Amino acid sequence: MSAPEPMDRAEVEICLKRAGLTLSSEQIDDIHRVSGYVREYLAQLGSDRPMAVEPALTFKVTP
Amino acid sequence: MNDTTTLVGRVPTIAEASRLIETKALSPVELTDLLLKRIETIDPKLNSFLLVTERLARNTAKKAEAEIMAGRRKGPLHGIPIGLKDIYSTKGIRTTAHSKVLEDHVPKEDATVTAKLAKAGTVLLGKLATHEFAIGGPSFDTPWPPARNPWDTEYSPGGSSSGSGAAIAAGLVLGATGSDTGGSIRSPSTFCAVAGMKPSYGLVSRYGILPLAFTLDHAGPMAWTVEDCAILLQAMAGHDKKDAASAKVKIPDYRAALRQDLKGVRVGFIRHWHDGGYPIEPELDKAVQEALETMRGLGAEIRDVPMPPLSDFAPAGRVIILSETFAVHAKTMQTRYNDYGERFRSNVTLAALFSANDYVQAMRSRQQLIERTKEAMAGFDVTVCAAAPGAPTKMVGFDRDGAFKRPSLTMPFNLTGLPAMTVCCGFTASGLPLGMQVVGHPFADATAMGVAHAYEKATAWRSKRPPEV
Repeated sequence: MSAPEPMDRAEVEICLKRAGLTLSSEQIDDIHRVSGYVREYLAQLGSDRPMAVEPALTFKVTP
Repeated sequence: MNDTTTLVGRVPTIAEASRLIETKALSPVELTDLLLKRIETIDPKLNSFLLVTERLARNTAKKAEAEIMAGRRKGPLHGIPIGLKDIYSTKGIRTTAHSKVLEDHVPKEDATVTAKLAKAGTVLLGKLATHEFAIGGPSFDTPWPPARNPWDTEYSPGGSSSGSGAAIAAGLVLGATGSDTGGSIRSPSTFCAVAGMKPSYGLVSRYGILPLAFTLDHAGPMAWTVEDCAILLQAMAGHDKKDAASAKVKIPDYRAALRQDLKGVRVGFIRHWHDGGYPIEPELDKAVQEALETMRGLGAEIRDVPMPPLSDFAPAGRVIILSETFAVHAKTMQTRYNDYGERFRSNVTLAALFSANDYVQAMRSRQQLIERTKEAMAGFDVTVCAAAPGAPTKMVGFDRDGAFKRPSLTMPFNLTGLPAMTVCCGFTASGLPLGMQVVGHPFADATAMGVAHAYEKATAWRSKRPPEV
């Protein structure tokens, strides 16, 4: 099974630049190649939740 | 205290060594010497240690022996040799995270757990290998080689607590610490056939342990048996005001909670994580099914548990772990990108593709999953499933795409913070270890350990050690 269709390479490069990272061309190639997986699981994650759903408060720990 | 005859041909468990030390039939000094000798002869093939603290170990063992002989025994860990995963800060002792980035890092203070284990009287034998900063996989481009699996050195010991699993299985330490952000205690525990406990989130302090992902990081014990993990957890657990996520809960007597039978225990089997969209290897599935039958024979009621699908956990887990890890390392990655190993870089850089909305959506999804899991587990005391998709994999031949294709069997319990104990449940036909998880309700760590102990005692898996490599 091959990797899913990657994101646009220019988009990947912009994201890396925004994050302040300097990668070699080969390193960008690798991130670009697997970026389709990222897009897939972001799509699975989605954002269609009731407005009242709050994020997990993991630092408020009780039994 | 010079009788080591009981140790001929085998390394004792913590519980066994502790009893012998208590009755002065075993000397902590001789036990420490025995293990240092084993490290010297065996570890060059396993690479489980990044640093052996030989002089410190001998001095600590001598001190322990003198205190015990003088009637000042501190408890079951007094004089017991252990190792610390090399992300646990040790005052004045190099702590590297197995990375060039921290190659010469010497902390100025101990992690809370480091200090607690020292106070309990343990003897520190050294710092143990890890996947770089506790993420990625076996790396050959870090300053130290990756740890290898003592059951077959061509295979990975799992990770990220790779050195801890390998050293315990090979009988180089009696116990060790691990950390678990997505399965890093449970993966090496299953691949090395040792017992490993990822406690409830908040039970064990993370202070002084190099962070990976703040809201998923758990510290916990690894050892040869569940009983040994209970002894270690007793010393490690407890509230710590230095840790923002530390829980104020009563700490039970974990060893006293270990069970001999499972009469009336309601065990939920997460069947659809085995035979759903991501089937596990048949030999492992068979081993878990047989384990459930063993539990039934001990008196447990076994039913399927309607947990959320495995694939529902994966997106939130990936976004949270990578986003939080990137937040920790962003500044260093911006200036020293190539000082990290390829496995670390290729994973964590993906966080640059996420937005703030993605992270918040992941945390909202997580809350929904916590609630769905709680609902599913109502009516059960523990749930059981495999701890990995199968047996250990080879050290080389890394499948870059593999992690994207298959959701983790361990990450759900990092997202939900539930206690998860891993125990050996058999071996493949070729002799490689297989493991399963026993998962409890929040802060019912003692229940999960109790069930795992009863199962472990009913099987013969603990009588088998790796070949002397």
